[in-house]
This record gives sequence, structure tokens and C-alpha cells, in this order.
Amino acid sequence: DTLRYATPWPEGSIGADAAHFYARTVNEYSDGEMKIKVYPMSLLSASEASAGTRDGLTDVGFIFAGYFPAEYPHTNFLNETSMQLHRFSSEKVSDGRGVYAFQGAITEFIFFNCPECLNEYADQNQVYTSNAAASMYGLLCNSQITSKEDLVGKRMRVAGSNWSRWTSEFGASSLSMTINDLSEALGQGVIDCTISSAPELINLRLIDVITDITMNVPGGLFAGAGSTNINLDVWKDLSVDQRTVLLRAGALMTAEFPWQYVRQESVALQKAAQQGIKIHQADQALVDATAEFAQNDMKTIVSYYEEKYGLSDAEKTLSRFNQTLDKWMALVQDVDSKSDLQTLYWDEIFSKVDVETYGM
Amino acid sequence: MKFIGTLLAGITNFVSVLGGLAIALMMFHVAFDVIGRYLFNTPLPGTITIVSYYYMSIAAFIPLAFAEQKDAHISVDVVTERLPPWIRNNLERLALLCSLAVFSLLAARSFVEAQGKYRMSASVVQGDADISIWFTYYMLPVGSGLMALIVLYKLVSSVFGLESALNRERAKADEFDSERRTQD
Amino acid sequence: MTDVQIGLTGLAILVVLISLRVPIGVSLIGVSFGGLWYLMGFNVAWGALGIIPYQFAANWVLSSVPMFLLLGFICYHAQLTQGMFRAARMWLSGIPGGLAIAAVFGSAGFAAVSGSSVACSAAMGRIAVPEMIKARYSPELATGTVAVAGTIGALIPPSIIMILYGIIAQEPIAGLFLGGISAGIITAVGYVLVICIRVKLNPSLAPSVAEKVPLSDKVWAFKDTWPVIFIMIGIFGGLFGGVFTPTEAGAVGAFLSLVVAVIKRSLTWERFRNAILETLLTTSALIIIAVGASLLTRFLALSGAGNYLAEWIIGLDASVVVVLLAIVLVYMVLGMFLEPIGAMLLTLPIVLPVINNFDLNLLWFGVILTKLLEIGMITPPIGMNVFVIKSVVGDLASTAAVFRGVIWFLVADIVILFLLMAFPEIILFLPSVAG
Ligand code: NA
Ligand code: NA
Repeated sequence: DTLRYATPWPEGSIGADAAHFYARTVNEYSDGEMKIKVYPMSLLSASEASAGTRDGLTDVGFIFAGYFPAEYPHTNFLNETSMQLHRFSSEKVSDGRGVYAFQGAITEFIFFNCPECLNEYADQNQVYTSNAAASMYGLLCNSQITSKEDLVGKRMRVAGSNWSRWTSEFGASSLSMTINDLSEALGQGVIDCTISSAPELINLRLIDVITDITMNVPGGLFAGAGSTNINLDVWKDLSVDQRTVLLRAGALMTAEFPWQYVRQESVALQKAAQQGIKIHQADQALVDATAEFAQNDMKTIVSYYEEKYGLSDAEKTLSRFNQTLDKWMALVQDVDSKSDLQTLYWDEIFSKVDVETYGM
Repeated sequence: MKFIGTLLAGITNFVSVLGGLAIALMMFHVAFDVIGRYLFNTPLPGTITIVSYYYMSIAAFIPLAFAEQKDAHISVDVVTERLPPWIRNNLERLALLCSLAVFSLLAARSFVEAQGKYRMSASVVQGDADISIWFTYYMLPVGSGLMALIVLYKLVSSVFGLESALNRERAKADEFDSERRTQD
Repeated sequence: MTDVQIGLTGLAILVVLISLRVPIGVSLIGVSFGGLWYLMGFNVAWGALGIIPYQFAANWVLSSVPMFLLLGFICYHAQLTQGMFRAARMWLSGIPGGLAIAAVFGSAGFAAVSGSSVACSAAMGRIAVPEMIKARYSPELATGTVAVAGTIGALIPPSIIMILYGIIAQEPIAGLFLGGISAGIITAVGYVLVICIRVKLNPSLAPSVAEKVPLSDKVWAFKDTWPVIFIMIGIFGGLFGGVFTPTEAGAVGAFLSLVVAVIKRSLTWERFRNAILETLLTTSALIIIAVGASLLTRFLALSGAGNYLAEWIIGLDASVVVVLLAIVLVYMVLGMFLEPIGAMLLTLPIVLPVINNFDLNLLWFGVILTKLLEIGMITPPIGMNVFVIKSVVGDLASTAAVFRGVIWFLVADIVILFLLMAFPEIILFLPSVAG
């Protein structure tokens, strides 16, 4: 049995490498019985992926929930709260542990505490079997930005509402831009910064066009993506053993994305430093103000999703999610290797999914 | 039949005004976004979304029928250009039949998709704003549906040897003609 | 039938339909829909038809295409380009085929502000073809020149193809752009040579302007070139001065041309309306074909026919020269039918490992690939640049005539391609100096 896996990532990127890793894993766990054929960037684009998986153009699809606010409001709601990682000490979230904790929390929450999330996927004829997350978002810029004063009047490219509100809070302006335009826009000074994860320095070749990096603000990350959503008809046709294989591979995939992103982050920053790009730390005043902003922003997010998408009792959902995140922050403190992370996600989340009934 | 043709031509010309507005607004919107951003540090909100979803869906699909009326759709006459007229006529009917099938199918399919987007009020996020895009999905069924009607009209006119009431005249550049006249 | 056979059969049916004069967009959509249905079942075909056309068109980067078209149409209808061609005619009147040569240089200039060769062809076609026809040039030469000269648009930066290649192959885009400059210039020089040779052989193709123009008139002629120069400086300056991005350049350029037309008092409501309506006709005629090509790309991907053609190269187990020739052959064949970006996305995952295998330079290959894909833009049966010119010139020339006009330049293109392959320094010189 060969399943098609469409991913919007180009060959050579972390996303495409992860897709090949997923294919190998599924093959191995099924003793060669199941095969995955990966289509990197060539079958469905990011904006086609959701409907393409729904209609069976692909069996497995990589779905950025953020592209589809009306389809996946519950997932997007959880994802948009990622700047609450400022609640934790920088000690606790360092070395990627903030990313691992958030990834664990959102995955567990979607599987077990957010039936609406799963329903949203089912409405799109899909079943959720893994989550993707990138590393922390920082400022990749053309000038030094370390204080509140530096931010005033700057033009920033952002890819999420929470970061957009952060820029206006500090007197900068935000604008959207597709990744095709990003490198030119930075190189020519159309914009001053992009708020992105550090691996984009390499993925999108931003390393050639920027001069200054500040990674400790604004923080937050992107984790609102089902990295291997499976077409529901395909899922229902699989045997229990086959579905188990896909969940086991899903657990590894859920570890793979954040692990590779965090690893790539240090590689990218090192390379940037070698090329003479200046790497700064934002001053304490800006860090504190950002943390305060993030805390207040949670109220904005709650009321926005309640009013706009009719989420019921979003505040309560958020406080339950916060507890899950607290639990995960404790769990990831001892993670030292990729296999630690894989084991943790399997033990705490995927092994608890009832394969007999899940998605059926 | 003549009345139907005139009516179709009228509808087509009318919706092409909408397409023209989309093109003109696209230019002004992007230009003012750039000017606002550069001079006043205040870009127009939602430019990329509105250009991509609103203007592009209108500009791409609404003028399909208009282009058909003006015979602007592109085909290759490398093989057929030296064939006798009766074969060419029949081939033209085949082409119209294929167009009718494809655009009817596209109209039906895209209408179903648009209904789905309408039911969930599809939108996209740009900056901190959420912009509605569900109605732009209707541009494709409207454009291709009208296209199918024009093609059907042409096919019926051709099969029954009726004179078409469609206006195939393309806009000519005025300076080009007038200059040629003065030079000759 | 195997999946690959279904894919290849689909391609064959496509060729037949297009030869029978079924509109290209209709043929592409029909074959892809039928092929997907046969291959994967009705639901998948039905799904693809619902998803892909809308998502393809509702695209920010694609929006630069109608905007560059509008720029060209405004320039043409508001007579902004006449001064430039009057000057070019005066200066090049001694040279046979001077206007066609001016069109090639014009395209090279336009290429520096246009990311795609289709937009470049459309704009220059609008500007240059009527001028050549007016000077009683052969329609084949006039239209063929502009169709091929448009391909310079993707070689000289900015270039949408190179940007995508850079992202996929992990090559610095700035380096690719530098490499593209020399390839673009050589291409322009090659086309000029073709024009000179053709006109030498058959002077009636391009009657030269007989009168002797005094030098002072020649110099004075430059004063009427200000609109074009002003617009070009506006676009260049804005792009490199950090005012706007390449995608925005089309709209800003169109806006600038409107401003210039108002200042020059050559804009009437009628002309503006005509420019808009023609942009509309061309845009929808092009996008419906690109939508079809995008659907075909999915059909070929799912059937494996695209990969089949590329995997054949690896199976050859041959020397680097033979493999490169095979790659050239495959892209020539794919380029006959496919839209270039689709063809690239379909094949790069397989071709790049081959290139790496032989330790070939990825920057060099990126420029070669761009050149190859651009040749596909002018080869029958599906040559987007040719279609653009055809739709821009209306009844002045048939599609077949434009293709005939292209053939001579195709010979030059193949020579240029082999020069670039045999002497990689041509491409690698500028990037090595800069980096
Ligand atoms: Na260019
Ligand atoms: Na071609």
C-alpha cells in the first residue's frame, strides 16, 4: 500500500527532510508493508493542502491551520497564545525547551481536550495524527533593535496577529509579505525586519540580506499545523495495525519538527555570526514590556475568538491549556536528545490514543 | 436568437466593467500602499489580501466571457490553417463543444466550492485583521458560467447558420490608425 | 495501462486537441480532468477542479502580470513610447533591421524591471510590434523578435524562476541573479546577430529608412524619449532604492506611466479605458491557460509521467556530457508542453541529485535551467510568449506566423545554450567577482 504525502516545503528544507523521515519511519514500523510517496512542493501548495487532503488529491497532507481561519479556529486560538511562554523564566525555556513544551502541550490538548479541534479536522474530511512546530520567533533586521526606542517607526513583516499587535504596541508598523518577496524587501530596505524563526536565515536565504539579529523578543512560535493529516476515508480503510503505525510515526514526526528547527536555529545563528551579522540581546526594559504585553494580549485573543468565531468559554479553555503547558514545561526540562523527546511524546500523548475508535 | 445574443453581449460588457475596475483599483491600491509606506510609514491595511483574493479573482475569471466574445482566447492554428473551410467550420464546432463541456463543468464545480466557502464564511488573516474572502469564490462560477453561455450561443448560431449578434470588435489603438492614415 | 502510460497518453491526447484548434486552456483543463478521473477516480478529479483554478489565480506574485501588462498597454495607448522608437529609428536607420534590434535592447532594458518573460513580452510586444509593422517589417520578423526577446526577462534579474530555483536548490538568489546578467546579455547579442543575418539575406523583411538624418536631429530625438526613461528610472530607482518589491513594481510602473501620460496630456478617457480592457482580455486569456498547466502538472505528478521522463536520465548511467545532453532534451520536450515553473517544480527533486552526483555547479545549472525553461516559452505547441504576442497583436499575425518568426532565433538559442554549457565561466564570472 502506497500513500501519497503532499508537503508544501521545497526539497532540502527541514519540512521536506521531515517528510522523507516520516516515509522511512512508516515503512520501517510496518515491516515494509506500507509505503509513503512524498511530493515536496510539487503536488499541493500550502493554500491548496487542506482542500486537497479533503478531496483525496493526497492521502496525507501538511496543513497550516493559520491559512484557514474559518476552518480551524480552535487550533488557531491555541497557537496564537504562544507568546505566553514569557510567563516562564528564560532559564526554563532555553535550549529549545520552550518549543518542546509548547509543542507537547498543543498536541496533547488537541488530541484529548479539544474535541472541537478534532471536529474541525473531521469536517474537512481529515484526521489529525501529528503536529509541527518551528523554533522561537525573533527579529531578523537591517539595523540594531534592542530597546523600545529602536522599535519606533520600524516596518516589520509579520506572519501572525499576535506579532502584529506587538509591533503596534511599540510604535512600529506591521505588514504582510509573501516569502517570495521577503529576501528582496529586506535587502533593499523596503522593510526593516521580519519576525521569523532563525532557520529562515538559511531556508529563505535571509542571511545574505540582513545585518542584525535579536532573538529574545518578541518570542512566541508557530505550532498551529497538522504535519501529517490523513484523509478520513483513507484512515477508515486502514487496519488497526496500520493506523497504529501511522500514530507511532506521527509521534516521531511531532518530535522531528521542533527538534530539527531548534538544532538548525543554532547552526543558522552560528553561521550568521561568522558572516559578521551582529547578534544582540534586547534590553531588560523591552523584555519586561514584551512579557507584560503578552499577558495582556491573552485577553485580546480570548475576546477576539469568542466574538469572531463564536468559541464558547475561550477563557476557560485557555486556563486549561495553560495548565497543560505548565505540566509540559516540567516534563521537558530533562530532555537531552531527540530520542528523549520522541519517547516523551509517545508516552505522554500518542500511546494514550485509542486506535480502535480514534477518527473512526 | 438575435435578442439572446444582444442580451448576452450586454451582460458580458457589463460584467467586464467590474473586471476593469478590479484592474484599475489593483494599480491604485498597490501604488498608494507603496507611497503611504514610504512617505508616511503607514501602508494601506490588507493590500496583499485584497489584491490577491479580491482583484485577482475578479480580473482572472470575470472577463472570460468577454474574451470569448472578442475571440481573445488562445488556440494554435499551425495544423489547421491550410485545411478547406468546411473542415475548419466543423473543427470550430468541436472546439466550441469542448469549451462548453469544460466551462460548464468548471462553473458547476466552482459553484459547489463557493457555497461551501459561503457557509463557513471563509476568511484570511492579514496583520491583526481578519478579511472575508468567501464571496470571491463566486467569481469563478459567474465567469465560467457566462463563458459557457456565450460558447453555447456561438455553437447554436454556427450549427443553424444564424448570424451572431455578439460584438467581436477589439479596441484598436487610435493613434496607430490615425498615424498610418496621415503617413500614407 | 500503467499510471505512467496513462500520463503519456494524456499528453498525446493533449497534443491532438491543441492541433485541432481547441483552445489551449480548454484542452489542458479537459485532459487533466479526464486524466485525473481515469487515474484516481471521479472524486479526485472533481476535487482538483474545485481547488486549483481559484488558488492559482488568487495569488499575490501573479498580480504583477496584469500590472506589467497594464504598464505596457498604457505606454502604448497613450503614445509614451513613440519618442523612444523615433530616436531608435533615427540612430539605427543605417542598420538593416534597426527597429527589431531596438526591440531586443528594449526588452533587455525591460527585463531589468520585470520578473517574468511573459510580462516582458506583453509589454514590449505592445510597444514595438505596431511600430515595426508601421515601418512595413515582415509580421513574422516583428512578432518573432519580440516573442523571443521576452525570454531575456527571466534571465536578467529580477527573475521569478531563479527565485524559486534558489529556494529549492538552496542557492543564494543574489548569485543566481548575477549569473543571469551575462546569460541575458549574450542572449540579446545573439538575437541581434540573427536579425542582422536574416535581414542581410532577405532585405525585404525589414525595409530600412532611406533618408539621411542630420546628427543634430538625432541628438534632439532624445528629448522625446523622456517618458520611457522616466518610467524606467522610476521603476529601477524604486526597486534598488528600497521603495518597493519586484511584485509591486508592476503596479507602481503602471501608475507612473499614468502620471506621465497625464503630464504629457496624451491621456484621454478612451485610451485609458482601452488600456484597461485590453489588460483584461489578455489577463484572463493567459490565466486560464496557466490554470490548465497547473492542473496538468498535478496530473503528471500523480501519474508519474513527469518523473518517468526525468528518471530515464539517471538510468542512462552515462558520462556527464551525455547526461547533460539528456537533461537538455528532457527540458526541451517538457518545455514544449508545460508551463516553466510547473515543469521545474516537477523535475527538480530528481534532476538536482543528478547534478549533485556529477559535482556540477548549482548556480551555473540554475542559470542553464532558466535558459532551457525560457526556450520552452517559445517552442510549439505551447509557447506562452508566442501566445502573449499573438493576443497582443490581434489580427496582425497568426499564431503559426509568430512561431515561424521564432524558429530562426531558436537556432541562436541552442548555440547560446551550448556556449553557456561549454564555458561555465561566462555565467560564473560575475558571481565570483562579486562574491
Ligand atoms: Na527580469
Ligand atoms: Na513550449
